Amino acid sequence: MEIPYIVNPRKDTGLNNSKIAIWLFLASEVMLFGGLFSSYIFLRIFADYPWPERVLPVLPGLVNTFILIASSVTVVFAWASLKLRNWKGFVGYMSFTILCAGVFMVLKGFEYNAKLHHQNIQYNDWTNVEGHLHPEKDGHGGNHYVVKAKEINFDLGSYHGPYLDEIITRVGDTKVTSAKNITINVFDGDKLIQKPLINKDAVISLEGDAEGSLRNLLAQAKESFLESRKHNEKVRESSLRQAWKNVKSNEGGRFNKVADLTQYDQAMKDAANEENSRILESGEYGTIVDNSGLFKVALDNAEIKINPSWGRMSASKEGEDTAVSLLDKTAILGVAGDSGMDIDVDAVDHRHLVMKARDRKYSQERIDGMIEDWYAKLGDSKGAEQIRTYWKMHKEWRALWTDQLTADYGLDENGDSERVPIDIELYRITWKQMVSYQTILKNNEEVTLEKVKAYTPGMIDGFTGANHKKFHDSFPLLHVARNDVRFESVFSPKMNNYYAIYFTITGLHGLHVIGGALVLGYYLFFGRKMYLANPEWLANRVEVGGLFWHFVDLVWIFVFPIFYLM
Amino acid sequence: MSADDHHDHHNPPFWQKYIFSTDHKMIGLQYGLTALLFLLFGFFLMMMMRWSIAYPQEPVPSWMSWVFTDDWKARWLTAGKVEGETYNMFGAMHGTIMVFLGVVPLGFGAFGNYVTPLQIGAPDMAFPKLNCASYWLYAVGGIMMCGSFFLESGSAKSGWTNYPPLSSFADSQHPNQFFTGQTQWLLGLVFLISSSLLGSVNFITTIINLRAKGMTWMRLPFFVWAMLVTGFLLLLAFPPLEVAGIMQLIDRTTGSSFFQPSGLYTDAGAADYAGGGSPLLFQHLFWFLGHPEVYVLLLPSIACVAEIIPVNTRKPLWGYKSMVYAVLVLGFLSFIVWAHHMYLTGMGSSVSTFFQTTTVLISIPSVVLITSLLISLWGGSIRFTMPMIWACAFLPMFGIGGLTGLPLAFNLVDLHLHDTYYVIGHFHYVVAPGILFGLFAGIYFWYPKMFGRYMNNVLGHLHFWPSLIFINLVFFPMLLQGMAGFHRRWYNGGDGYLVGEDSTDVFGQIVREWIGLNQLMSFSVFMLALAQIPFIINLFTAWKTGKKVENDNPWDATTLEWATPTPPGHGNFTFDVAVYRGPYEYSRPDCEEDFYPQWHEPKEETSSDLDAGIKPKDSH
Repeated sequence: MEIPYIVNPRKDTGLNNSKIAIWLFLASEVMLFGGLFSSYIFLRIFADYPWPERVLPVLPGLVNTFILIASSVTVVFAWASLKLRNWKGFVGYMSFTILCAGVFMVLKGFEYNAKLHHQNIQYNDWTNVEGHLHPEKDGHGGNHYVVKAKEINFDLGSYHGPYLDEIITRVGDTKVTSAKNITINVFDGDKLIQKPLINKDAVISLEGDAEGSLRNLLAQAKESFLESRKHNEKVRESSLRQAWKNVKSNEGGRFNKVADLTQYDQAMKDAANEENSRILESGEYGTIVDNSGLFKVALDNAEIKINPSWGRMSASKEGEDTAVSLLDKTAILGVAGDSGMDIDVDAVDHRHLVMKARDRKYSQERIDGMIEDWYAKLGDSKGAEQIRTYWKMHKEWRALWTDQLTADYGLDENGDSERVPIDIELYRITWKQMVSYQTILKNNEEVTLEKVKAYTPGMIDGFTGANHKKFHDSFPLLHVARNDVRFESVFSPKMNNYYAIYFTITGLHGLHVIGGALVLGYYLFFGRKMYLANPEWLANRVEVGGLFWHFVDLVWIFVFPIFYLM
Repeated sequence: MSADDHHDHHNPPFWQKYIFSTDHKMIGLQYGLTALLFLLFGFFLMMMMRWSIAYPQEPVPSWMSWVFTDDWKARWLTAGKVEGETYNMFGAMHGTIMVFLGVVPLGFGAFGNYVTPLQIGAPDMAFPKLNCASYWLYAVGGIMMCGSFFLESGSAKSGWTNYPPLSSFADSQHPNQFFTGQTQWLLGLVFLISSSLLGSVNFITTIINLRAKGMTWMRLPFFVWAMLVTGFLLLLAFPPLEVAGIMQLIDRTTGSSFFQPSGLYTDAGAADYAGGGSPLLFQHLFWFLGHPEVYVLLLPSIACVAEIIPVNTRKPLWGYKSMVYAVLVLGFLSFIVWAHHMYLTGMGSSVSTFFQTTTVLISIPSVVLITSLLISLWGGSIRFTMPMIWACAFLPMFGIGGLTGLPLAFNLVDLHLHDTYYVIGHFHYVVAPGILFGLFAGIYFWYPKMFGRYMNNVLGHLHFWPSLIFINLVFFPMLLQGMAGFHRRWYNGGDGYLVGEDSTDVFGQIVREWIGLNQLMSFSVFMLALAQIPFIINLFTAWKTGKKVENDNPWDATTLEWATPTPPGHGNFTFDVAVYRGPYEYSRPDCEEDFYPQWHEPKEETSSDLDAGIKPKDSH
C-alpha cells in the first residue's frame, strides 16, 4: 500500500499532503500565539499595578531579531540548493541556519539568567527595590525564614521527606527530645497491640535513619497512624452501615412513616445518626482513640532556616514568638530570628506606591511625604545613606528635567508646561542613573542634565541589565527586615504578570526555535540517504520545515516590539 | 494501486498490528475501545455521585465501593460516605472523562478514523504514523489524568472547566506540585490537545487530498463533511485552551498569578501572589474551546445518524446540500458564541448582548440539520434495524436537548437558570440520549463491516428500550429541579437546605418539594447501568458468535466503505476506486435495485443522461 501525493502534488488541489498539513499546523499555531498575545493585551489593559514598560535590555533582543531574519533567508537558500541538486550548498546554508538558532538560544539564556538572579522586594508601603541578593555564606545572606525553634510538630499523614532532611541539616548539633509520650498501634492480624515508641524527654538522634533516629521514629509513627486511620474508617463505615440496617429493619416500629416523605426521610437520617453513635459508644466496634497524627519534638533554640516558598511565618519581626508552618503541615514553633535580606540595590521605584495613593485620592503633598517617610525609615547604614543621597540628587535631576521640558516645548494656554516628566522619570531611580549619580559624587560635581547623560552606561555595559561587576560601588547595600516586606520575588513569572507573560511567550517561542532546529538538523544530518534516493522528497520536507521556520521568525517579529520596545 | 500491492506488511508482528498500528482501521478500533472503557469509568464516577446526592447520609453500598482499597477509602470517604471534596473529584473527572476521553475519541477518533478514509476511497490516512502518535498521546494523557486518583492529593477537583482562582488553590498545599491531581490534569490536557492537533491535521489533509477519482466535494457523504468541520474546530479552537492550560501550569509551578486577582485571602491569610491577574481571562480562553467542543461532540454523532437514515429509509438524505452548508455555517458560528457560558461573570451587558445574538443565530443551522434528518424519514419505507432504532431515538432526544438550550441563550432567563440542574439536564440531553445514542447507532451500523458479523438483535433491544426509558427518568427531572433552583454542585443533593413542614424558609420549602426526585433519578441511573450490560455482552460475543454478514454490503448501502472486503484489509480497497454519483442514490426509478452505489460504473446507454441531471454542477 502506498499513500498517494507524498511527493508530487495532486492535480486538482495543486498541493502535496505535507504542504496542506503544514499550513493547517501553522493555522493552529496562529491560534496558539494569538491566544497568548490576546492574553498579553488583556493582562496589560486590566493591570492594577504599574506595567513595566521598556524594561528589557534592547540589544540582545535586537541582535536576536537579525539572527532570526538571517536564518529565515538561509533556510530558503538551503531549500533552493536542494532544488538545484546542490548538496554542498544545502549543507552550508542549513548549518548556518541551525547555528543561528543556537546563538539565538544562547542569548536568550543570558537574558533569562540575568532575570532569575535579579531580586525585587516590595515594601509594605508598595515601594519596590530591585537588586542582587547576597547569597548565603558563613551563616549570612540568602533568603530564608529564620526561627529559633523550641518545638516542631510533624503531621504524620503528610510530612515531606526533603523538608525533613533540610530541617535536620539546619538543626545541626542541637539536642532534640520527644515532647510527649508516643504510643503506636501495631496490628498482628486482627489483634491490636499498643506499644510505646518513645517517652517524653527522651533524646532523639538526628543522624541517618537507624533505629531510634528521628527519621525512623517518624516512619514508624506514620505507618501506625495510617493503619489506625484505616482501621478506624472501617469501623465507622460498618457501624454506620449497621445503624442504617437497624433503622430500616425497624420500619413501622420505632419510626413511623408519616405522610410527609421529607420528614420521614429526616427522621430516618436522625435515627441512623443516633443509632450510629450508640453503636460506636457501646463498644460493639472499637475505634482507636489515641490517634492524633501529630509527632512533637522539643528543641533547645536551634536556629532553623526555611526557604520562604515552603510555607508561611506567622510573625517575622525579630524576637517575636512565631510559628513557621510548612506546606506539608509541619509546624516549627519558636522565636523569630533575623530573616532579613542583604541586597545590592540597583533600582528604587515608588510608582506602585504613587498609583495606590492616587487611587485613594491622596494629595501630591501627602504622596511626597509618604515617599520621604520611606527614606527616613531606611536606617543608618552606609547603604541607606547612599540611597538617600541618590534620592536627593534624583530630585535635583528631575527638577532640571522639568525645566528643560518647559524650555523645549513651552507653555499651554493655562500657563502650564506643555510637557512634564512621566512617572517613571519622577518616581524611579534606575540603575543607569545610580551609576551616573555615583560618578558625579566621586568627581565631586554638581548634578546637571548633561553630566547625568554623559555618565550613563551604554548598551554594551548593560547588555542584560544592571552590570554589578563593573559598577559595584554604585549599588548600595541594604538590609531589608522581613517584617517590612509585603512581597518578594526574583524577576521570574512570580514577580508580576508582565514577567509571567514575557517568560511564557518567549519560552514557548524558544521551544519552537529548539523544535525547528531539531527538525532542520535531522534533515541536515540524516537527509543524505533520502537525497540520494529521492531528492525531491527531501526538498519538500525542507520546504515544509522552512515554512515552519518562517513562522517562528514571524512570531519573534511580534514579540520583539511588544516586549522590548512598548 | 493494484491488488498485488496489498501484500506488503501482510503479517506484521503483534505489537505492530495491534499496539502501535498505523492502519487507520486498527487505530479507529483502539480509539473506540479505549473511549468505551473511559465512558464506563466516567459512568461509574457518576453513580458514586448520584448515590451521594440521593443518600448523602448513608455509606456507599458495597457493590460500588468494593473497587476501592481500604487505604483509599480511609483517605477519601468518611464512614463510607462520599464527602464534598471527594464528590468534587468525581465531578471534575466525570466531566473531563466524558468530554475529552470518552465522547470525542469515540466520535471523532473511532468513527472518524475508521469510516472517513473508507468513505472517500483512500487507502489510509495521509499520515499513518501521526495517526498512531495521536492515539498514544490520547491514551497517555487519559492515563495521567485518571492515574491521579492514586496520588496523595487525589485527582483534579475543580470541575471539568477548572476555573481559577479555585483551581489554582486546589492542591496548592502539596510540597511537590508535579504529583498533584490538578497539575496532572493540566499536563494530561496538553497531551490530549497535542493528540487532537495531530488528528485534525491528518483528517483535513486526508479529506482534501486523498479523495478517490470522481469523489467531488458534493459527492462526499455528509459524514465526511461533518468530519471536515469537526477537524477545523479541533484545529483552531483547542490552541487557546492550550494557552490557558500552559498559563495555569505556570501559575501552579512558578507561583505566577495570571489568573489570580489582587487581594486574595485564604484561611491562612493573604495569598503569596503578586496578583493583578484575571479569572475572567481563563474563562474566555476556556470557552473559546469549550463551545466549539460541543459541536466536536455533536457532529460525529449527527454524521452517523445522517448515514444510517438514508440506508434504512431507502431514500436519499433530504436536503443534502443545505445540510452541508448548514454544517459549515455552524462550524463558523461556533467560534463566536463562547461567552454565553459567562453571562453571570460581569463581563458587561453589551458583550452579553453580542453573544446572545450569535447564540440565537447558531440555532438556525442546528435546526436545519435536525429538520433535514426528520424530513428524511417522510415517505420512506423504514427498516427498523437496530442502528435505525437508535437513530430514530436520537432525533427527539437531541431535539429536547437543543430546545431546552434556547432559554439559556437569553441572558435574562439565564440569570435564573445559570448553574442549576436545568443546565445539567439540558446539556446531558444533548450529550447522553442525543450524542451517545447516535454513536450507539453508529456502532450497531458499522459493526458488520468491522468484524463481518451483525450484533445480536435481542440483546440490542434489551440495551435500547431500558436505556431510552431510564435515561429520560434521569435527565427530565433535572429540568424540573433546575427550574426550582437546585444548584448543580450540591454534593448532598440539597439535603443541607431541607426544612420541616412548618418552616417559613421559602427556599427550604422548595427544596423539600423537589428533593424526592433525587432518589428517582439515582435509581434510574443504577438501572441505566444495568441496561448497558447487554451491550457489553453483545459487543464482545457478536465478534465470535454473531450472525455472519451475507456479503460486503449487508445493509444495501451506497457509500464507499461498503465496497471494501469485510473486514477491510490493509490498504482498504481491492480495486481501483472511482466514484460516479452522489452518496445517497436510493430508490431511483431507473434502477432495478433500490440502491445505486457510488462505485458502480454506469451502464453506457442510459446512465450518462440521467446522471447529468442529478450530478451537481461542479462535478466533471
